[in-house]
Amino acid sequence: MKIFFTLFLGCIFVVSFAQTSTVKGLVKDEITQKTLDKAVVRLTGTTFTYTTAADGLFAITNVPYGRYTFEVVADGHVTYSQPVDISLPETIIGAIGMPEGQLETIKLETEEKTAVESLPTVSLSETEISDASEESVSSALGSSRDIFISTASYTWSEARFRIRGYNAVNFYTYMNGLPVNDLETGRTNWGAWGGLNTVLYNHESRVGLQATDFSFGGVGGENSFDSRAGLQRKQLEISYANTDRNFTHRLTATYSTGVMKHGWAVSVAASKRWAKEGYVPGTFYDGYSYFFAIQKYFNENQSINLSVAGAPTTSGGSSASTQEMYNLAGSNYYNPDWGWQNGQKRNSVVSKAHEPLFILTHDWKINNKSSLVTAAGFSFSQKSRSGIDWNNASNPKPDYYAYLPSYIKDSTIKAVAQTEFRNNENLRQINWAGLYDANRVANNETIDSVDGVAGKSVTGRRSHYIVDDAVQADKKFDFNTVYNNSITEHISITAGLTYQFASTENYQKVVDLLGGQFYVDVNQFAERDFPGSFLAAQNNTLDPNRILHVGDKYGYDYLEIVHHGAGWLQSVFRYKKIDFFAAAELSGTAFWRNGKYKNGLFQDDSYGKSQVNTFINYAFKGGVTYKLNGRNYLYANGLYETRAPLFGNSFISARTRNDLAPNLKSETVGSAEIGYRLRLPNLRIKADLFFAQFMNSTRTTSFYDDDLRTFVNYTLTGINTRNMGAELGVDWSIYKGFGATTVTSIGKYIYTDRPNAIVSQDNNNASLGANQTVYIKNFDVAGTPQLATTFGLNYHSPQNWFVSVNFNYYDWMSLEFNPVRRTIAGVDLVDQNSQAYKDITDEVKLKGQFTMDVHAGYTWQMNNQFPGMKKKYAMVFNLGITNVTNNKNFVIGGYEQTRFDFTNKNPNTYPPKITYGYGATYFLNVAFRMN
Amino acid sequence: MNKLILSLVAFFLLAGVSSCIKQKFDAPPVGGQDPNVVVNFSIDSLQKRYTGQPYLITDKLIVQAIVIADDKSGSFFKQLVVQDSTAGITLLMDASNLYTAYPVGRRLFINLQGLFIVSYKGTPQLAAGVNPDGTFAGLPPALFDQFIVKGSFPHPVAPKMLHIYQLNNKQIDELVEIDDVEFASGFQGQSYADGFNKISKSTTIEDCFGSNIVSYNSGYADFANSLTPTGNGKLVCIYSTYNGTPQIQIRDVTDVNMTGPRCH
Repeated sequence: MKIFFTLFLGCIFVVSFAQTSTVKGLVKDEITQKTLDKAVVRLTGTTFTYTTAADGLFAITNVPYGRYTFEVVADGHVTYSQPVDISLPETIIGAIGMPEGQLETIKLETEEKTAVESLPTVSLSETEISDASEESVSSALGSSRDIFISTASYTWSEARFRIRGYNAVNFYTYMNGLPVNDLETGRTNWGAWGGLNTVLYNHESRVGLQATDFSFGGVGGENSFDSRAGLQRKQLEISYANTDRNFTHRLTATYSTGVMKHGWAVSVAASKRWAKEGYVPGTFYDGYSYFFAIQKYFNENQSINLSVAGAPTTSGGSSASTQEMYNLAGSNYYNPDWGWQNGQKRNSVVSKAHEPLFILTHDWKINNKSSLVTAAGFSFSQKSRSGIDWNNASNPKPDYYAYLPSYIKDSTIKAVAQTEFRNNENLRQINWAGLYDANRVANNETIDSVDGVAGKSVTGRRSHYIVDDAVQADKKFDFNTVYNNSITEHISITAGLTYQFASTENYQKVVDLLGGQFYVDVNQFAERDFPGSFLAAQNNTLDPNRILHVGDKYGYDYLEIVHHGAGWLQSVFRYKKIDFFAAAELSGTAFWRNGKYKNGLFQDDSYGKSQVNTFINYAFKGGVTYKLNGRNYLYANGLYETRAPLFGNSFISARTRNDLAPNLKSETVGSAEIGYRLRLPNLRIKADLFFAQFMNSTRTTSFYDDDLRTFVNYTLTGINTRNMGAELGVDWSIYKGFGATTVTSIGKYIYTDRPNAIVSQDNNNASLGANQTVYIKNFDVAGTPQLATTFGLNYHSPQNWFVSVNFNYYDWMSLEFNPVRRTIAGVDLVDQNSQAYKDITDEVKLKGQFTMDVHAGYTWQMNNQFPGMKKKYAMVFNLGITNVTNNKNFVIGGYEQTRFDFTNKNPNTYPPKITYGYGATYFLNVAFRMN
Repeated sequence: MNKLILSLVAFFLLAGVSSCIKQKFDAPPVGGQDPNVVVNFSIDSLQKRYTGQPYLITDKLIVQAIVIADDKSGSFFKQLVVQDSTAGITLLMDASNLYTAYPVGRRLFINLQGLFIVSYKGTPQLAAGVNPDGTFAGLPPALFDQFIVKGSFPHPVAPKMLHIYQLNNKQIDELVEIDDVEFASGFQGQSYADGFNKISKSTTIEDCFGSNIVSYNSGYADFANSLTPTGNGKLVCIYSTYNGTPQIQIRDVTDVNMTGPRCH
């Protein structure tokens, strides 16, 4: 192989994040000397990549100084690879001649399947309020080149896998230099830019504790997206996809100009995803997304980018149910949330979300050694989830336990009821006609003292049932600036400053009176429990007995206000054989509640501003990497930090009062990892062991209790958990286009101590349980398989097609448990040695499951068929089939009901609610590209 | 720029072609129309079938009756009292808030086939079955629509105007009105029952001719803690017997209108 060196001169603008370099060169066919189009140039093990256009030129920007393996892949040619040491602002590789031979086609297409959207969501109006989206890394990142990350985030999302068992708060996400984790929940709202995969290809994902040059880093890792206009590939792409999951059709259009004359670049994308009915009966999907970015390069050293992205989406949901209902319905995808109305399926749990995000990013290469990247952003969002609210009426949920055959004692009647349930779908679904009927027949009522005014009365049909929305409207502002300086050849420092603010209003709203004339803003349960007190029954004593019509707020109305600021400093030392780094961060968080309603049960404690909770936190991180050679290295990293509790976990019943969890304090985390990486041209291995101990976590979860007709809140304090395990990712190109992969995550994530529980209700000031010790030492952390493993085979053909198949196995999963069952009250008077005791306290383990998926793709380079076309045209076909064996017995999640039969101490009276993973589904995408 | 506009136009054309997900719902027609059902039996004939043991109705018999007592006030619980032109009977139903679907004044069509006639302390009732412990099983919600068809509404039932001494087994589970009565001294101006501890109370109603009758008031009723009137007047109620002892039960405080001067 001969290499011709040609000096390359051009007008490529340099954009740098840190002490970085631009790597430039030219790719040509060795024999014909013709420049090669569509050659993929990359630095292996990173996401730095560039695809050449017809002129064969490449320029990879923002490459931090260091040692890399430089690789070129082009159709019909042998992959070229050489080690490269980058330590100057411009690295000129020169012209590379590629000999003919086999190729490896980069799988650039991935199906869109964010972890949240692909699985049936649990209805929140009467079950858990939190934990709907614990995914740490969106499976939009399936296109990551790291085989472990792409498998963990894409393939394993079918099992709700969480990387290292960590909650999503441990993974930080940045968009164009701006931190975008939600300040209240700590999670990344992946749905906020659903449908915009085409502009998010430029991303970096890391798992672990290594140093980065843009963030102090999270315990689990970081995701950094760069959607700036200048970095989008210059092309027009229109695609259509057909699938049978949450949505059934998707249309996208993307157009980017690349960097044009005078340094401007524009990128626009729009997408629509929809389904009249998704995989689960009664669900529907109607989502739009839009994206716009404009970037101006003032000169080689400075640019400014403005980006706007949003994804307004409306969808109909589904809820978990009991195995009894799945059996009666004859399907593991039975959905209790819908019912027939006038020949249409009407879903009671409709979710709406729109979170437009504006980001302004300024990128400044100050001089050869230093740079400053500053980003400021704001977003305002509106999210809501509907449900049925009722008063003085029966529960409208068709799978309410008292309606089911299992509730009937007489076996003959039970059998008749079972037959009825099996044959009559209307019995299993919401009876909308019945709800309207109840609102129009004999419900005339007179409400006195309306608005607290004596003598003011309203008479009319007071709805027994309404559809209401639980609404969250927020305003967010974020600011982030990162300074990088390579002080010497060996030492570089990074310093950052962040400020984030969020103000969220939470309230309930009347959506549909279902044939009635009005609703009343009172707490009917308190009405019943405190019959003498007019004020106790009021949700808002400032406007008692308020008459409600469609669009009115009611129930609760409060603001969550959070401020967060942090400064961090990191120093990285690079030598021939060894690198090491140390970093520290200091942060402050303040949050408080501001109630708009004076709740009748908590009159002194609900209205106005609560106490301001402030936390000062610190973090230390450090690590060392030993480089055996350019291809393999060992590393060890550690982190210790304290973290302020989240707003949502700190208030025991934020809907109704200012009460905080007792002894509210910061959480402590200690984590360490050791690992090994191998990077050969045809073999990549990543292997590591990790450990993390979380101490003094606080968690509040709310469940809607049908009997108490209110939210019951469980606040657990003093939670200590430990996550230990090993990760392995092997990506092996065996021979002539054949390859194999194996990825495994194996761990043990447990509770190491016994937390304390406070149980409270929203509509009653009596506590349901205070300071109860929860006996869950050594219980497994639920909600993720602790063992996940995939073995894959793939083949890439020189004729531009590929096929791959994965064999997956998941195990060591358990059901989300009800903490109240593991208390002294939960086992009162039960013989400790009895089976009953074990039934009440043992954690429910789910069965291990096997799945298989197949992917195939073909790219038609149309210019080959139609030479002489001025532009480049291509059509890309992609097909993915998940769960090929149609395994419909995969319980991917679920929870024990909070309702517990204390009378008989029988856990089977209220069996767990579970969710099954989809059977075999497909995703077929056709894209047309022009550039 | 042209490319940009062209692609945007193309996109929106394509998007427009796609189906819109409509989620606007019309209100369904108001329920409460009498079904096309042939009524071939009466409650009176039904009661005559009882012979001392729980009796399973095997024939395809349908009665038509109007609800005269529901569970709105809590005075009656998990049951409805229905009356046709011949007699009245209690229907046991294993659910709460029955009044939202089966309120007082609604006409019901009851498929008797599969139901049991039972006797609760001497009063006939319709049940879904008999539990092993001898208690009667109410109709489960899953089977409501199979046995009870909701008819039109409202059909106010005029109570039968009777004196206490005229009340007999023929009026069991019927709506009656007794005039010129008062709560016996010792029971007037007292709470109907104990609403705090949910304890029921048996009070005495007497007329001016010396007849009296037990008024049974449930501790779960929303009027349990209200005070009984001290005056004399009329009372609308449901008549039944308990182990042979006649008794009446009011549905709610609007059944009571006793403001005149007492006779005793």
